[in-house]
Amino acid sequence: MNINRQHIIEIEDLKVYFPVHQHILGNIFQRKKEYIHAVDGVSFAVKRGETFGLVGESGSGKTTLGRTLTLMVRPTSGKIFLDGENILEGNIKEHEPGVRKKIQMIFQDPFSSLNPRKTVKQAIGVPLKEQRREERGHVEERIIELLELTGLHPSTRYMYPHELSGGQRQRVVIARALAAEPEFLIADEPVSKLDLSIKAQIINLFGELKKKMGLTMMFIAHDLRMAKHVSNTIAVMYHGHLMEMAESQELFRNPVHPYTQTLLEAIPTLNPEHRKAQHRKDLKVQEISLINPPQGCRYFKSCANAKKDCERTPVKRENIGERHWVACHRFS
Amino acid sequence: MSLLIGGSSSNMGTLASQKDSKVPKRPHPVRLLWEQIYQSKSALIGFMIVVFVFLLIAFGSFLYDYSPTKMNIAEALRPPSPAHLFGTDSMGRDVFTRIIYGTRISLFMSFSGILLAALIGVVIGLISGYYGGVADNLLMRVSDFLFAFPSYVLALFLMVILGFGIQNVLFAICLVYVPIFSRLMRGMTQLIKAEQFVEANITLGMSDVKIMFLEILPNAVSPIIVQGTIGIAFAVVLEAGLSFLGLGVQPPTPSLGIILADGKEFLRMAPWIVGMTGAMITVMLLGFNLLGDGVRDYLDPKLAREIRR
Amino acid sequence: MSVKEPLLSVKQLKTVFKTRETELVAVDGIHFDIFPGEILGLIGESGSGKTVSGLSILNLISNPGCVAEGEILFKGRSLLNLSEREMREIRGREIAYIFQDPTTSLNPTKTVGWQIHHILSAKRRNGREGFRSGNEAFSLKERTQHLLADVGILSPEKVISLYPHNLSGGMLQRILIAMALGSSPDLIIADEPTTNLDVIVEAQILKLFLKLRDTVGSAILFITHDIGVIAETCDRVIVLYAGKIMERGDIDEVLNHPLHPYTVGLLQSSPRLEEEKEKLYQIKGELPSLLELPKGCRFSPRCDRALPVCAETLPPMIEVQKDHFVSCHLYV
Repeated sequence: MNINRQHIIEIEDLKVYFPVHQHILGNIFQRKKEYIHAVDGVSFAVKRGETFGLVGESGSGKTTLGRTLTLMVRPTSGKIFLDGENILEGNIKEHEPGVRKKIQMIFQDPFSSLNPRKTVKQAIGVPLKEQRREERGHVEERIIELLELTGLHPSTRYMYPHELSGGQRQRVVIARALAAEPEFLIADEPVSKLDLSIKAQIINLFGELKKKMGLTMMFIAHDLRMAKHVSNTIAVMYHGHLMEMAESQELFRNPVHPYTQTLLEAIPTLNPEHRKAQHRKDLKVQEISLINPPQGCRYFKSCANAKKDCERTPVKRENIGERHWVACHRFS
Repeated sequence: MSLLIGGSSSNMGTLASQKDSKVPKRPHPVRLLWEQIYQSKSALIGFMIVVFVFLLIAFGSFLYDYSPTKMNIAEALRPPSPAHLFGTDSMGRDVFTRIIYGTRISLFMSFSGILLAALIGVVIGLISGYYGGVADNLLMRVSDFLFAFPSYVLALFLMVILGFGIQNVLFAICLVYVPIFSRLMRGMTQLIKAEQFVEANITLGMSDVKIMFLEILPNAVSPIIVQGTIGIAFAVVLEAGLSFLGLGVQPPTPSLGIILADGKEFLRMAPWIVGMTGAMITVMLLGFNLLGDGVRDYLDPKLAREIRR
Repeated sequence: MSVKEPLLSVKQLKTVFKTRETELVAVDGIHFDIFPGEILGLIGESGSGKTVSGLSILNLISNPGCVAEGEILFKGRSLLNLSEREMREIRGREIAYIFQDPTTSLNPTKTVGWQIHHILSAKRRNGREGFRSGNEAFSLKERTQHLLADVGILSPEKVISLYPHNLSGGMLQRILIAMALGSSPDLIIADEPTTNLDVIVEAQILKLFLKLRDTVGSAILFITHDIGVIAETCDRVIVLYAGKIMERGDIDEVLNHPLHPYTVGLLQSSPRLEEEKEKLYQIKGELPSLLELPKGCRFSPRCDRALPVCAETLPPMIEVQKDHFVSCHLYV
C-alpha cells in the first residue's frame, strides 16, 4: 500500500489474537495453544480531518482495534502507519511516547474513566505535566481554558468525580484528552452510558471541538444512528472482520452487505409508517466461535443469502461504487 | 441517580467568564470518620478503650513512683492494694508499673512491625499485581512459602536465627505480616489496574511508577488500613507469646509476655499477676478490634462505591 | 363498549429515601393504570424514578427507602396492605419482574436449568395453561425445555446444563424472560430488559415480548430510557421526569403530537436515520438533583418555553385530548 500523506492512519492486515487461558496442566502437556481472533486481518485508512465511524456489536473487535491504535494492546501481526511511520516496527515500546502524544482516547464509562480520589484539576493536570511539560504557572490557566472549551464552569476543577453528573464527567474526560493536544482522537462509545438528553449535548460538543481544533476522529459505536450523525466514513465490523465501508450517507442509502442490512433493519424507528416490531422478519443470530473462526466469511452462519462457498473461501473486497466497498462473496 | 453536590454549574450557552474560584466546602474526612464512629456504639466503645489505654500508658507511670525493674523482695507477692494497684510480683516489683511499661513496649513493637510490614508488603504487592509475569510468580511463591508456616513457627524461626531482643521481635512481626499485606495489595492492584482511569493515564503519558503510587495506591488504602488494625491486635498477642516463651524481649525489660511468664509459676499464690496482664491484653485487643470495625465500616461503603460502579 | 377494569392501579404513589439530613423523594405522586394485556411504556432518564416505581409496585423498596403515600391496587387488592408472606405469593406468580442486568441477576453457582426448575416448582399456578409450561401434564424437565424453546433458544437440552457465565447477554436475557414467564403471570414488569444488548438481539427480544403478550395475555410494564424501543412495542406511554409524570397517552398520539416540552425535546434529540442534520437538537442543562428540586415544574430550568408561573407552581395534570394527559402550564 502506498503511504498516502492524506491519511493520518493506515492499517494494513492488522491481527490481534488473545491466547485462551490455559490450564496449568495444559502447559505441561504441550497442547496447541488456542487463540481468540479478536481482530483478524483488518485494513483501512483514516483521512486527515475526517471522522471515521467504526460500527459493530459486542464481540466485533472494535474496542480492541481502538486500544491497539493507542498501543495499549499489542497486535499479533500487521502494520499501523501513523503519519507515514509504522509504529509496530522494531521495539514498540520506543514508539509509545510518540504515539501517545498524537493519539488520545475517550472511553465509554464516564464513571470509571476518572480516578475517584483525584480532583478534576489533578486529573487534567496529568497530561499537561507529563506530555506538554507545562510550566507550573500556566497549568491552572490551561486547565480553566480546557474546562471552558468543553462547556464546564472553571470551579469544576475542584470537584471530585462523584460530585459530577455523567455528562459533566464525560466532558472532563474530553478536556483531559484534549490537554495532550492530540491530532487523532479515538472515542469508544463515548455517549452510550449517558442519559438521552445529555447524549445530544456531548455529540454536539464533539462536532464543535473537531471544527475548532482540527481534529481527526474515530468514533467507535454500536449505535448506527449516532455513528451516522457524526461520521464522514463508516466501516462495519463483525467478528474481527470489516464487512463494508462507505461514506456515511451512501452506506445508509445503499447498504449492500447482508449484515449491514440486518443491522439497519433492527434499529427501532420512531417513524410510525415503519414501525413494525411485530412484522419484522425473524433475524437469525448464530454466534460463531472466535477461537476457530471459519476461513471464509464470518457472517455465513447468520446470513440469509449464504452459499456453500461462503464458509471456506476467504472473502475479498469488491468496490461497488465510489469509495464504497463490500466484503461479500455475492459480489465477486 | 445523578446527584449534584456542590456549586458546579455547567449550562451550555451561559458560560460565565467569571474566573472566580470557589473551592467547595466539604466536611473534613476525619470529621466524617468521627461521625461514623460516634454512631456505632461498638466502635465508640472501642475508641474510648483505645484512648483510655493510650492515656494510661502515657501518664500512668506518674501515679506511682515505682521502677518497673528494681527488685524489692520484701514486698514480693503482695495482693492488690491502694499502694500497689495490681499487686506485686515475685521480685517485689509493682505489677501495675510493669504492665504500663510492658504495654508501651508491646505497642511500640506491634505498630512498628505492622507499619514496616505494610510498607514492604504494599510495594511488593504493587509490583506483583501491576507487572504480573515472572516477577509476580516469584514474589508470590516466596509469599506462599512464608504462608505455609503458622505465624508462631515463623516468628520462632526468625528469633532463633537473629537472636532475641526487641528489634528482632519487630522483624518477626514484620515477616509474618509482609505476605499478608502483599497478597492483599496484589489483589487490589489487579482490580484497580483494570479500571479505565488507569488505562487512560497510561495513554496520557504517565510512567509505571507514578501510576502505581499515585493512581493505584490511593485507591487501595482502605483494606490495607483495615488489615493493619487487625494486624496490630494480632501482633500484640504474637509478641506476648514469644516473650512468654523467653524468645522475645529479654528480662528484666518488662513486656506483657514476660510478665505472664513470671506470673505463671505463681498462678495459685498470686493470680493477680497473670490475671491483670491478661485483662490488659484482652481489653486492648477488644478496643483495637472494635475501633477497627468502625474504621472499616467507614471505609467500606466508600470502597464499594469507588471500585465497583 | 364497557370500560375495562384496570389490572393494576397506581394512585398518587410517593416513595422516599431517608438520609440522615433529609428526605429524598424518588417518586412523587404518580398515578396510572395498566389494563390487562396491554404494554405500557415508562420512559425516563436517571433520577426519573422509573426503576423505583417498578420496585415499589412489588414492595421491593428496602431501607432507607419506603413507600410514603399512595395506593397500589392489583386486581382490586391493595398491595401495600399485604404482609410480606402474601406479597411473596404474588411475586413471581401473578406479577413477574425482569431485572436490568442479566449477567448479575442469575445465580452464578447453579446451572440455568436448575434455576428454572426451581422457579417453576416454587411458583406453580394451579390450573393455568396458556403457555405450555403451565401444563401439568409435562414433567418439570420438559416444561423447562418448552419454556426455553418458547423464548427462542435453539438448543434447550444443551443450554439447561450451562452456567450463566457460559452464556451471552442475549441468551441470559431470554432466560430471565423465561423465568418470568414460568407461571404465566398477569403482569410483567420489565426494567430496561434490552439496554445492555446489541441491537439485533434487542430486536428479537422485543418481538418476543410482543409474542408473549399475544399468546399468554400478560400485561407488560416496560421501563426504559430508549424512545425507539417504546415506539416499537408499547400501546401507551408514560413520560417520567424527576419523579413526576410529564405526559401520558397512547403511543401514536404522543409520538405524533407530543405536548410536553420535555417529550418534544427527547424526540427531537434522538438522531434519526432518515434525517440529515448538522447539529443535533439538545435539551440544555443537566438533570436535576433530587436534593434541590425547583418549587414549580421540575423541568422548568431546562425548558425553552417556560413561563414565569412554571418556576413557582407545580402544573396540574390536564387531559388535552382523549386519554392524552400532560402536566404543563402551557395547556392550562
